[in-house]
Amino acid sequence: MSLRDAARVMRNEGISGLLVVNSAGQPVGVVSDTDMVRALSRGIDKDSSVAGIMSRSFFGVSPEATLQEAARIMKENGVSRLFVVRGAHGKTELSQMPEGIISISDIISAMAGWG
Amino acid sequence: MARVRDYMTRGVYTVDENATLEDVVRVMARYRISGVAVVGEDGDTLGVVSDTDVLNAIVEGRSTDTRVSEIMMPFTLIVDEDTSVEEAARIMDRERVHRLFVVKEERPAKATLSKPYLQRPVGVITSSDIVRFVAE
Repeated sequence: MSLRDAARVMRNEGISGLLVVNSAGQPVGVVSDTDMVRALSRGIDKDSSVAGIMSRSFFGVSPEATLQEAARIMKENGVSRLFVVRGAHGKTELSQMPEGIISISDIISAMAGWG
Repeated sequence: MARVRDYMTRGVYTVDENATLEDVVRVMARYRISGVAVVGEDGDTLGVVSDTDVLNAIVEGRSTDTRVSEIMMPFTLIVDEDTSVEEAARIMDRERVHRLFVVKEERPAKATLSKPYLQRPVGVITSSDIVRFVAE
């Protein structure tokens, strides 16, 4: 998929990141709004492949973790979203589709509900 | 050439300098935004609080009544409406931020030597605006 097409999916769905999968449906990377900013700032063509700009590392959190733990993992690794995977805590392998994603905005929404 | 004016969101969400961490969280959640400007009594912009600053405050175990002035960042990452979208992306990439405020310079009623102009925020351009640009 091209950067342009990935950006269209993000724009149309109102999301800031996509999981990149291979033809077998296995996760191979993540492409985010931050990667799009970097690509544009470096003059990378919109028609080039997302494979060239995606991050190949996955950061995860266990579904049982607290929001505070999720926040700490995000801060330590400088990321804005984590994949929810059983037993994950930080950098993780992603051999199959994650159970879900948690982002900074999810944590902020949850905090707003605490008061 | 695509300019910031073509992709920015006009208007800026603000909190005053006495607002708390809890106030900021409520504003961000309610309006689904990831950053607010902090303004002083004279209307001058003092700083910026982003969702990342809120995340750091949580990790540091700060209480919800922490003043925004303790967690805000300086209001320095600004562009004007005529800046190109590519240049805005370069600044975001270099400074590792997701938003830049768009300002207009104004002469305040009472100018001082140290502060001859007020930088009034008129809008914001974010990484999602950059995504919209790449999508076209």
